[in-house]
Amino acid sequence: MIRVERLTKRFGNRAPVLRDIDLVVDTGQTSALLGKSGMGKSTLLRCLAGLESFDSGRVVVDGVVVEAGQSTVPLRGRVGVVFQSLELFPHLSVLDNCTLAPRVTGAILPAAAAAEARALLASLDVDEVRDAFPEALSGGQRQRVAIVRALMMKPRVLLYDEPTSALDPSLKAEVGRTVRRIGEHTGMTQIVVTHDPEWAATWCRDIFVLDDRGVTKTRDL
Amino acid sequence: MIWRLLLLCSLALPAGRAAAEAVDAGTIDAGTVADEDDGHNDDDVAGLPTLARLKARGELWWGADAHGGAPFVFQDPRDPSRLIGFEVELADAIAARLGVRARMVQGPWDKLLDLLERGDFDLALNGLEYSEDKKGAVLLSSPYYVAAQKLTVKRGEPQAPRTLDDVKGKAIGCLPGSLAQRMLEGRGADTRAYDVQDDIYQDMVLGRTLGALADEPIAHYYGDIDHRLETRPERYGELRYVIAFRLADADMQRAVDDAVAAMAKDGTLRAIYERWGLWNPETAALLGDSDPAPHAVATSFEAWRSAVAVRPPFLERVRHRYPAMMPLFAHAAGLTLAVSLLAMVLAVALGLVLAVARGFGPRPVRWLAVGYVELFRGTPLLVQLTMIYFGLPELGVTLSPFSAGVVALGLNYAAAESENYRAGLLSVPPGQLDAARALGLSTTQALRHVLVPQAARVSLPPMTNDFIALLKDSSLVSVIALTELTKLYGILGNSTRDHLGLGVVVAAWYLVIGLPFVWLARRVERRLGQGRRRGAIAGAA
Repeated sequence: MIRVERLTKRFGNRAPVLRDIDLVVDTGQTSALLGKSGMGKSTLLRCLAGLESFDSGRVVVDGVVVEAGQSTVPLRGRVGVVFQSLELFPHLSVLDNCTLAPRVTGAILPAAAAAEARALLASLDVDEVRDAFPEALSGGQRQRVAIVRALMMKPRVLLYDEPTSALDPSLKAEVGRTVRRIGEHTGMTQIVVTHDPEWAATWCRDIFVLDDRGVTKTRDL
Repeated sequence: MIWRLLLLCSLALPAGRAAAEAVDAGTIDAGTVADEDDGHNDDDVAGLPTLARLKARGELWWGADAHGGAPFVFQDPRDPSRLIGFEVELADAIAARLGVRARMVQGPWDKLLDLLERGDFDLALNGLEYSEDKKGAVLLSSPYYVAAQKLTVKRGEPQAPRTLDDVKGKAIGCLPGSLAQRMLEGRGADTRAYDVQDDIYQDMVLGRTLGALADEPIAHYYGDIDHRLETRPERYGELRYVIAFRLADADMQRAVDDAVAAMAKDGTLRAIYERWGLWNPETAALLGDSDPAPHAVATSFEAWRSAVAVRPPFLERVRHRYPAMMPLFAHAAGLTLAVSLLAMVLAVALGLVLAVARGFGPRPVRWLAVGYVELFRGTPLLVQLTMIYFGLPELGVTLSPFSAGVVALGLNYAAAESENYRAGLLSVPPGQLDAARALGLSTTQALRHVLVPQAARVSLPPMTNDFIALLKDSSLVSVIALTELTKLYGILGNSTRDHLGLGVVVAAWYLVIGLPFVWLARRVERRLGQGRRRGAIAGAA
């Protein structure tokens, strides 16, 4: 389960970007986090992923509690992120992109890492480009590689930041199918940050909306 | 990749060190010393008084500048691996009387007293002029030679001065800080000071000056041998050459004075001066010799005249003279390369630390890194080198010339390298660090595996450029008594009066040691760029 309690985040002395946010996401479900741009969706996602400290409140992921002012490092690796810009490592091949983190952090034995990465790549139809470098891939291939890279750390939660922005409708559906497939295969908790309510209604179970009053659950199937 | 490069450099370290030890601290063998790679290491006898120490090690270390040229201490133009000169013979004779061998230690002439103070050699013997104001800083021996000042002019030049009373407003060459310069300035001449004595006379031949005033030995060896020049018979002033010792070495001073007095008495000195064509009335009076006229043939002077008065044709030099100089050049190139390589390893490693400290450290560390970069980038390398070599001993840190050269060049270039890395790190999108962290990598792991390899792509080309610049800047270490390529070029150019041909030779040496690194860097660049290019090709297909 993911729980955010009274989380407030401000940058420097400016007004808080997030104020007293409460959020509870059920385990094993795919949820959407909707909201207009500038509402702090990405900042909330970064707080969940342990990339941003916060000023008050707490974040609980799978039993790991991080209070305001504490190190956010325990969240990293537990919470996988597929960034909007994907951020694949351009100097590494697809396979090395996927195996770098487990090898370096010692999460998996190097030999096992390659086999596991290939299995995951194959499940998302990108095993044939495993030796290519990211620059050579199509946008969709890159996104699926970024997902595999995040999955390799066996996260409890997978976060997507605007995975459908700037895509045409058929490609958006492709992303939706991928997200659903991962949910069904792994049973993992997924949160998709998006500003596209139609897409969210089609591909996600629960829908949360972030506005200046906080987070409201608008659909609970 | 950068780590592999670092590893490569560190593997080169022992080799560089060995080369460095082989060439050591700029010692050039004089006369009796045979073993070239013997080194110049005083650790075993440190702590003893100088006289006891030189006897314990069996060698008298005397400081001089072979760049000064003939007839003092210079490379034999007929056999450039040999160091000759009347002061070489004098040093050998003094050493023999002390029961040891002589070893010449190379240092820039205007820094000889500083190097003496630092302890780089036991005494300085190189046409040092007796003066009262030196006495506070060093002990001086009794004079061993007296030189008059002689005016040399261009033959047949109507504007040329005939005597010293005729120099007002005329361009006259001399050595900087010399008695000649003071005499010329006192008479209102347009004084032109040259560091290298051959240049004084070359510029007169080229018509840039009308005359030259210098110590008689210099006028004799550079003016008299050129038929286009004429040395006037008038003798001006009187300059006494003395040997300098550290203030604490009164026993050395006495021992050397006794040796010189004995050699004056038994005719050893007269024989040396006659052989070199330097016997004159003033020196005869100084040594208490009643016969001011030379009797022996000045064989050494004649050898010099025949070797350099007429420059052999270029092909002749290429066939015989330059090959004979190759061991000297190889030695100096080894030193240049060793200093540069080790300095670059230091610069690359320290530069990386600085760039990371500046980009990722807590605020005080960041400020320190910025301060370091501005300080070392904003002040001249020569100042840093001089401070490290001559300044640090005041604080109790005395580095060998080789270490001081490596440290100074390394610290200086670290500032430049850190800026290279910083530019490289800034070129990596910030999202890359986020992505690495979100995957659970620590900052160090992210730097090592994600940021630095990408930064290296941007940093490597300017780094190659810096290494070539460092290779050339390493010529500055000649101010701290290291005879590297540029210094050797100066020394040989002055002793053979062949600046153009030797210039080509030394340029070739710099290219030979620099180009392999350019080639290596291109290969590494290609490999770093490989992912992108291979990817792009695959994408196009």
